[in-house]
Amino acid sequence: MRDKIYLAATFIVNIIALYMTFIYSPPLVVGAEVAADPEVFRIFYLHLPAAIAAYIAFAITFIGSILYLRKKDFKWDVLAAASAKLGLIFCGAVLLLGSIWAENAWGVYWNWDPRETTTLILFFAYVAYLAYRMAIEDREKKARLSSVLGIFAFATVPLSYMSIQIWQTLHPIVIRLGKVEMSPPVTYTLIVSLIGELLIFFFILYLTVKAENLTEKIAKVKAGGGS
Amino acid sequence: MGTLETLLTVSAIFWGLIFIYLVWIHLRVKKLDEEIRRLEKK
Repeated sequence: MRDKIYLAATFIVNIIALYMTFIYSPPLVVGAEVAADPEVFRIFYLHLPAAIAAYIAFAITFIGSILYLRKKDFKWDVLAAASAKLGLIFCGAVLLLGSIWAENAWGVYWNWDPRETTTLILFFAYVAYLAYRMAIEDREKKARLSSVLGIFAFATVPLSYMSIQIWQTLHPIVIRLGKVEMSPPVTYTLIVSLIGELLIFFFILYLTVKAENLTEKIAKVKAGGGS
Repeated sequence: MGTLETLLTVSAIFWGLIFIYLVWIHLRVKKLDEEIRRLEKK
């Protein structure tokens, strides 16, 4: 029942987010002078929330990895791995949506801008994390070593986030020193879109963790001869 | 393809993929739940 209420709320918030994205929000542009078509700016309402969801996902992987190494409880490892998988999906979406926006604003899909490059590094760090997990058979060894990797891989998150402050970039900076540089309709639409995407993210994370836990339980029951 | 079409296509692909994953993971949980119940009955 709780799942259904949560799903219904997620659905409603996302319908409102879509309405705000395509109708309520004006075709405003961050850096309007460089955009070929102001309408493409609407991609921002999918792009930024997906980036925040990916950062949150990798932060959960980081925390899960630390907690596993401290408590040696597989549930933290399962959470870390599930969150990394979801983070990769959202990070892939960020790269894809960003490159479509870049084509409109800069004329090319990819130009090795610091934000693009560091986000690609971030993406491959977690691809490596998941590939490494798949390569190890022993459950305890897999959890221990991938937790270490999960902690180190997190270094790419602040690198990606701070890249536009460290290096010169073409990427728009919408939050500078805690000050949001957006008009109210853009800010409201962004907030609703962010809530919508995060609701989806946490629900999928919940289901993914549940599926992983059940898979492990089945493996244990089978290994124990059905007892 | 025009701008609006591009945007709608991108949105549809984005939400479509998330929806497919959601349905897939939901069905997987259901299947695993059933399997665990079957194994525990044995």
